[in-house]
Amino acid sequence: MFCLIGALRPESGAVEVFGKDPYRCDPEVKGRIGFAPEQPAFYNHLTVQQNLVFAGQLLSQRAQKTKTRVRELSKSFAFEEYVGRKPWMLSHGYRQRVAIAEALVGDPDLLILDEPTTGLDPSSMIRIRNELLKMNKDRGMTILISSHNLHLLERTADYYIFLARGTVVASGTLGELSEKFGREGSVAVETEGLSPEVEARLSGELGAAVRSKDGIVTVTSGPGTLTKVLGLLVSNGVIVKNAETRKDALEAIYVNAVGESNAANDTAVTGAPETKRQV
Amino acid sequence: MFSLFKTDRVLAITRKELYEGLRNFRFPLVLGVVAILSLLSGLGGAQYVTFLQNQNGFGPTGAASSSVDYGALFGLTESRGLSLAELAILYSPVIAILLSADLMSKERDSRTIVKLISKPITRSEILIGKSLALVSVLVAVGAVSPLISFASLQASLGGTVQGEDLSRLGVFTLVYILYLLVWGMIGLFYSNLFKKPITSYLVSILTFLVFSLLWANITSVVANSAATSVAQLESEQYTFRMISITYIFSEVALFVLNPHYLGVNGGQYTFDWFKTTTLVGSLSSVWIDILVLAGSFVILWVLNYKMFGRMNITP
Repeated sequence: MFCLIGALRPESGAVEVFGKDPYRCDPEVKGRIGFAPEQPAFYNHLTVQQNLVFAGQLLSQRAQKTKTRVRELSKSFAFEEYVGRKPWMLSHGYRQRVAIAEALVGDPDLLILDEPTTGLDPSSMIRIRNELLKMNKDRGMTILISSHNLHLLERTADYYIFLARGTVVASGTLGELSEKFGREGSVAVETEGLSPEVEARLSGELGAAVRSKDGIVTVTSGPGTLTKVLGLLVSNGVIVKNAETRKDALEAIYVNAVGESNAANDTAVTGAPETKRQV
Repeated sequence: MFSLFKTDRVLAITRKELYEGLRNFRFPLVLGVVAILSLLSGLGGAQYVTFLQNQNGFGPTGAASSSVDYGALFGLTESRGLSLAELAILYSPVIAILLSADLMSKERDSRTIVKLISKPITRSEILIGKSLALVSVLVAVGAVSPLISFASLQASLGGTVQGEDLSRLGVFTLVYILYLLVWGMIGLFYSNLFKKPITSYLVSILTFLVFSLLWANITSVVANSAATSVAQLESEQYTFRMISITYIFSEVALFVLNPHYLGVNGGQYTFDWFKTTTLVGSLSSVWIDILVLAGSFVILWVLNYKMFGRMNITP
């Protein structure tokens, strides 16, 4: 992340954003990037509004344009009533909202977010997630999120890069990753009158892992599992109340890709919603 | 050079720094203290002149001229109490350090540097913007101090200071500003070197203590151990002393403000109450010192530029 914004020089290899080296601080390239760090940092002698206006000044933006943009962003991220306050007076959730808004003052083509939801309350998390999706959809903004929050990524990202100990271990869309690292999905059937004998037959005949709890049978197996399971249950007189197929969750794919041992260590997941502008 | 930075971005940084300095009362406090000390210095000088005039003249008994060397009043030799030059030598480094030693380290400590770096502003623009804020405050301090001191002296004595004394004070003011700027650059250097403002402050103050207050003792010990004769001792003491910018500035203050200082010979200053030299003559004795101060300022700024330009900003 720090290499992408030009704060750090890569130890090896090269980093290019929009075809240029960000470390060389080309203002044209930097003007197209917005960055919000994991820990929001502000000038505490300035108000929220003044911090955002200062960001606009660094972007060489006209004062009027910045003011309009600040109004829009404070409305979108719901911190309108706090713009006159000093940042240190705000809760972590609001500071994070302001930090993301600050990254968006210049209406960037690429938004880089480092752990945007760490320590956030649910309402802040939902607000931020929805705004990110909206900006991606409405403005075509490419958003790069570095996060350990797989739930957030699963709901926002289109493309994933799994990192483990500084190395890319897997990348692709959820479908691609599921195909490569998924365990072919599972079937969950809500039943009535399921006996241990039938459960044993399911396992024996399908050759699949079967879990049963409170009448819900979960079978993890290959393609066509649902039909086979339903056939077997009905032929044995079991009443089927509901049935659904489940795709592998991002978490399962991640664990499979990175490995359980690595998952416990220093790992990160990066997700980027659909790229509409070239990066 | 001008293509290296964009003025509006540089000025945005400068404004931010000045506003911050005003908001936390640092600038008003420094300017206030300097103004009070300068006022006291000027009034003390005026009182001394009145006293000497009542005692039948200025200088030693039987001196050829009874005229007052007002320039010398601001210097290191004639005043009672704190003179302007003493004020400049002793307090300026503290003032400059107070204003400069956290310029970069505070941004790194609070992680706002990441915010700056991620914006379309070059590192040179950040440094130029901050330097500009520092220079403008130091120039204000450097100009206000002699102005207040001079004005209070003039008002007390009824407007009698004029001519070459005024020119000497003008030249001193310019060199004083240069001296402040060199200390400002030293503070900036440490703020680039250390991430914590407290560390950069402490090391800056330590540098001031060593090169201003303890330097005479240190150089004496070093010269004593190396010299074989008194003449050699004096010469070596002088040479070692002049490594410190504080002593370089002291020498400039001696010569520029007092026309009775005629030159340097073997580490000894030639002083004669009965002879005077012109301002040009005084400057010819210290032009190298002024050049060294100017060179130090430029070298330190370039060093800061290189350091910040190559600095890796870590999370």
